[in-house]
Amino acid sequence: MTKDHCETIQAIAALPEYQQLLSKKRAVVFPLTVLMLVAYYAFILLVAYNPSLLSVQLSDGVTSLGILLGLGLIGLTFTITAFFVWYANAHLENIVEDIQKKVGTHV
Amino acid sequence: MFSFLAQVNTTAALTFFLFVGVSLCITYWASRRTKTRSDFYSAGGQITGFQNGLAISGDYMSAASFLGISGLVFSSGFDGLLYSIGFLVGWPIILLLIAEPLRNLGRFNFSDAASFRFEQTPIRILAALGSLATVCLYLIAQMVGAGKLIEVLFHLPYETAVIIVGILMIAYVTFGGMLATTWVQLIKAILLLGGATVVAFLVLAHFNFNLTNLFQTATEKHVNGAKIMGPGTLVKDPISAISLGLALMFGTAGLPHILMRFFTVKDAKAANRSVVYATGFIGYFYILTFIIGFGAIAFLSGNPTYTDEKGALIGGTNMAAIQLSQAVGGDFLLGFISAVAFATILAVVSGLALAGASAISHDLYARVWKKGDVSESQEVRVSKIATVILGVVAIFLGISFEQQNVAFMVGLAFAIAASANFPIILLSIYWRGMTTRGAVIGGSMGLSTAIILMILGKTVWVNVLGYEHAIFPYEYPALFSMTAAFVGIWLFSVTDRSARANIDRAAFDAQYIRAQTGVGAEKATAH
Repeated sequence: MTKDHCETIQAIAALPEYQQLLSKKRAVVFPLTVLMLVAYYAFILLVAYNPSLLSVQLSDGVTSLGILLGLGLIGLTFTITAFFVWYANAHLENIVEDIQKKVGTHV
Repeated sequence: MFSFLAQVNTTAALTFFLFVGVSLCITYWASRRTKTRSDFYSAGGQITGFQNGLAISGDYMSAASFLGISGLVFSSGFDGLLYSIGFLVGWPIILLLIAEPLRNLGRFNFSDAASFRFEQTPIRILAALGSLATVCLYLIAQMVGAGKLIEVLFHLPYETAVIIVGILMIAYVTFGGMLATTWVQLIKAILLLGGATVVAFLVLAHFNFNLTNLFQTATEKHVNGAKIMGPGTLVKDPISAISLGLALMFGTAGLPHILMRFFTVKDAKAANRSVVYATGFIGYFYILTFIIGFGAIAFLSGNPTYTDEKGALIGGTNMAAIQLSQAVGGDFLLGFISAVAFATILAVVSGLALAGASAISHDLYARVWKKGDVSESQEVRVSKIATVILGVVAIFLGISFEQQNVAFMVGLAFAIAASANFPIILLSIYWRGMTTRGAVIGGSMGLSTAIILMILGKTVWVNVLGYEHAIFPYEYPALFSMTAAFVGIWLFSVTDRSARANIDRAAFDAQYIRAQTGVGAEKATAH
């Protein structure tokens, strides 16, 4: 790494904006990751330990709880990705740009 | 016997030749624009988030998932949905944890990012081995699938089919690089999504767009009745369920040809956007295959045109989607879907070949052997040679493995990706304490555990080698091999007192800043 690059990196480490970026990011990445893992593995464990629950029929007489939960999980997966990118665009991108401007690397 | 396929379907042949023609034109166009190494590996960073999302989903919607999953839904109902969900849930994980750091730290493939602060040679060798193992297994599955499909649909001998696929794959990659493979993948994705939408639409229209009616008819016609609405025999016990879940979810985050696509976009923001688009298209696609699978049950079960005397589907369960397209849309739709299924395989093998070629040329040749002392054009030339070799190897393996169960190959590919590639990527980005030695030993442990347990499991030990009982009682090794990898990386990193280890740990902070802010990241090339 060049000396310039090292200095840039050190400069960023000292910026309050950088700490702000990290804490805002963690505030959303951690819960969303946990949500995805918990939702998926809860579903898997249901399949493994209580499959008859998933076979229970809903009010229309044929569709099962399992299918409803499964399709719901597909919807949740997409929602998590869409939400994160919305959040990053609305709240994180401007901080990153600020940082890049301050250290002179913004294009 | 194959009465409905008695002659080669004109629509199929026409659509297929049209696709091949267009794809070769694209390859020619791409070859004029592929001048530098960056062009060859990553299309010069010129791909937009939307295009990349579509291309990534194309890589994912292989013939294996289109035919295989609708076939699984056809035979087991709900269990097919389990697989679909498993393949989908890795994407938020990639988005939240991997996509941005990967794009910011690497240049052309995941091994750039994974080896960023470590000693290059050992990490690149390991990453290249993990990549090549994953790519080869995946390639075998695709080649065998392609051969079988063409054999049935176009009445060509299996070997001829495999050779055609191999030659076209070599052409796309050597002449057009990443730009060609991206556009071929993209177009194929549009055709596949369009075709599958039409089939699903026609199925639903028949049932007045009422899912309950569709399910009702399916449970009446299926031999297992209402049991197809719930979990079947796909996962037999909790350990297998968790192991399979782990392999599907985290294997996605370790597939070299998918990760390579993150370097074709301008910056980390575009990389993130790619994932949202990809997740949307893939999720939509899995809902379609679900409807198609149930549609196949409703239209094909017990129907003498499509089933034989014993009630089994002609051509096997993998043909469920193809046959359904004829049932709802006649010969025209049958032809279109068949050609698209084949195009699908062509596009995926090209992406795989490029990922394999980059592992050989960028990692093993340029960095490990020549220690970086090679010109860009030399590196690209070696990539092209590697592609030709990979193509020949793929043809040879496709012909040799004709009779083998390919679902197991894809499963093993995912298990290796989850156990060897993913742990290294994840920990190198997030854990300061990781060292070169820890990465090498832990990663190797993951890779070898996955392979050994697969060999000792039922599919190889009993079915192929003919022993009485499998030594390893589970079919999916991921739970054990991933644990081996993480424990190994941790243990051999914390006990590492070498000088190199100090460098590795000290370099973490600067790497983390670059990963999070993109400062210093590889930019798109100006054209």
